[in-house]
Amino acid sequence: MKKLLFSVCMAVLALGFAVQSGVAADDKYPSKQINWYIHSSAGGGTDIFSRTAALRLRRILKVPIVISTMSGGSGARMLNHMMEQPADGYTIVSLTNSNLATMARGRTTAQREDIIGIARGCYDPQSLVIKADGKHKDIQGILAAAKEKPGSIKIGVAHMASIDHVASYALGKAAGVEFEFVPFDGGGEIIVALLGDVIDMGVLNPSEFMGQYEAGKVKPAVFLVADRLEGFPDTPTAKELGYDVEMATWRGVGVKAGTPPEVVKILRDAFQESMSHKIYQNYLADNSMGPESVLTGEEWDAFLDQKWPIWKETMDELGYVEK
Amino acid sequence: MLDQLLLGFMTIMEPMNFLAVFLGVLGGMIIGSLPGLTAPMGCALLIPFTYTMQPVPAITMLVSLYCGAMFGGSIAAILVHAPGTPAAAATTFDGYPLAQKGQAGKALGMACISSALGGLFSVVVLILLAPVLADLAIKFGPPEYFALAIFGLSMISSLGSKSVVKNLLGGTIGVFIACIGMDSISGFSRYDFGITHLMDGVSFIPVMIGLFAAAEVFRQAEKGVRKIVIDRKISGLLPTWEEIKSVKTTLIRSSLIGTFIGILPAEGGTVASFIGYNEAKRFSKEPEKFGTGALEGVAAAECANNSATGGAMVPTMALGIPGSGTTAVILGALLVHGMRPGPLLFIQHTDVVYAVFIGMFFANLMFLGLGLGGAKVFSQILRVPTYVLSPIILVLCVVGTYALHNNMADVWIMLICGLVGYKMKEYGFAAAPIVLGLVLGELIEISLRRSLIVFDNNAFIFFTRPWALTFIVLTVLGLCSPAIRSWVERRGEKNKKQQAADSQE
Repeated sequence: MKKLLFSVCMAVLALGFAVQSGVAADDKYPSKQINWYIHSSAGGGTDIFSRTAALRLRRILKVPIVISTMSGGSGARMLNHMMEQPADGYTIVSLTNSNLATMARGRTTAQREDIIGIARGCYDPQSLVIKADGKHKDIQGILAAAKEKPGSIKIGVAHMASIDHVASYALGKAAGVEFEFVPFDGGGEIIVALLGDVIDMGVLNPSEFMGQYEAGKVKPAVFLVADRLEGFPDTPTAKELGYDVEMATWRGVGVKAGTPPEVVKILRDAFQESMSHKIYQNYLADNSMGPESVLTGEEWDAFLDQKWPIWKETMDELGYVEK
Repeated sequence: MLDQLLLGFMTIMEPMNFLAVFLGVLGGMIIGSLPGLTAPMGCALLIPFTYTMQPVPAITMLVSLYCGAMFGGSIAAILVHAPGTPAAAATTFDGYPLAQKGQAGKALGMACISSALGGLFSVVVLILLAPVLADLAIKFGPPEYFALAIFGLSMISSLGSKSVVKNLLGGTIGVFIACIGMDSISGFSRYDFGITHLMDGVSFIPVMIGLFAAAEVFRQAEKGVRKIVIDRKISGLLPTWEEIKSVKTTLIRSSLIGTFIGILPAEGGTVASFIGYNEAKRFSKEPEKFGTGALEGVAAAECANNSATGGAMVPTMALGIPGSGTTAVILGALLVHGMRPGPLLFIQHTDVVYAVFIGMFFANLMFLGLGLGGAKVFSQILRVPTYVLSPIILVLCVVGTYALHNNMADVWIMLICGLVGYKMKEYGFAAAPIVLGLVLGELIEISLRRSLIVFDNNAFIFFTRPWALTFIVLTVLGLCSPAIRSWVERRGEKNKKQQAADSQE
């Protein structure tokens, strides 16, 4: 009953806000509640990122910020909803790789040019992880084995047509080898499969494999970044090996294109300030991510511009574009 | 380890920590008893409130909520035929018939005792064998999961209605519903008819709430305003000592099954309770009583789902791999409090780990007390007339389904399933096989296809790996057992006749 009462109260509150927002005068941004949508479920990585970033943001912007889940079609429903809202900065969305994939696959009316990037908050490099005492010693060994017998190297990825799939596919393409992809439901399952010798290699982020790495059970074979990571001085990067592949799990925020530039600036500055605060920085550190995760303004927009064609092209190559 | 346990005991005895256990259990029981509000949801809602707490009370409170909700699910399952949590689905089979016979109190008492015993057993296992048992999770590759899921599906034939054919049909429908949405292996959507909502598939909680709870509301409405519900007297709140003793072996079996299944990543209380229930039926001397109000059935299901709690905590703590939806949320909470679950957790945060273990132990004792003491209070729901209760349940169905993903599509799915479930019963179909097919369908498909990818399309892999073979053999035995049993009986009778004939000569 308590829950029901709570729900009713929330409904009344929401209704109140709705009425209020209908009549509020928009002379100075922000003057009313900001609705922030995420496409994934409560308690997941994107939810935690958004909630942590919103903590200080509320104090900075001095308006209520309500984060709600709008799941369905890997972000398709959320992006379609954003397209239907006015471009006034009161509707913001969390953006992830999945959303770019959904856009690239043509499952939503939104495309890259319909979104202005506000800020990036997470940057978790992708790495290919192997068992510490397994039959493959390093990435060169794996690539050689894959070249010798195409399809013999099984790679564990979290879902198909995902960042894991695209990242390992991109590395394989650059190295001229073909991997066999085995989809799992998440990083945890991939680690178990790796430890149980079901797969040869898994696509994981440091935040996913740290526990098993510290215990000496798994080790990253290669990071898909340009420079070696501070915490992993012995692990080569894709760039060192001569493959121009840079892939990471990132999360950020965007608004609909057409939002007035002054509103975009206010939001970008506010996010910059909120994410510089130690609450947010502690969250990054706890999840094995560096302060360079935070990217605001045009840099973040440029980052999206750089990633978008890669997704378009790869999704097309893999046959995932719905025509 | 003994001094660590003692230290954990001292920590939990601190007033604030003890209060955390109490509030967690109470909140869990309330959330669990409301259909649609599940343990993962409760834990997810609670996490923001634990940010400012110390790690021990924060994690203990979440774990206590988990235990409380697992038992709380049985309250609605028994009283209103709607599983309060998915894991209580198997409890409805015998719990509700018992309530209809006026033995709601006894069913609740049995659910409470067997939940607590199962829970306590699993915590002991968790404490003793966490590092050792966690190794088993790694031995389970896709072929083992496939064999396990097939074993689970084999019980469809004996679940629900009397007609084996209708049960099989129901199970097939369930497996088909599991096919809707993203095909995990290829990454394409199936059977979505271009509807965005269906791209993610049909989650089984709306289906379950619809088939079990909403359908029941519609059936009640059809009966009109009658006094059936009010007339039910609650007598015999406690099962007798003899009754508890009679389910002794069932409790031991369900505890073992529940703990074992809990340890497996990706499987939790729901599968545990179905398997626990079915095994109890398979081993029972009077299997025909199951489904008509057997206390043993309630004990088997409830004991199994609560022993999955301790089991699910094993891989969560020892490997950082959640064994259920709720433990996935608890894993997130551990990270929030700066503890990275994994083999090192036991070395770096020994104090917290053992305090949580002891807290979990107390949580099981606590709901035993609250459940038995408060059974009368909870039973009050029976005194509410149908015309008041039905709308409340329907509202809860809608609110609970919507709260899952804040998605109206889930509510429509729930209502459609409610109508289907309502009509289905008229034609002698039961809801349980559909739900089981839906729960296991995805696991069966993905583990089969994953196995074939990993082992280069070698189908013999299911017979050459020991654990997989074990489950396949168990499935075959299970499917043949009715035939074997009747053969043995016939043989026995024949022998008797022979003897009788011999003695006459």
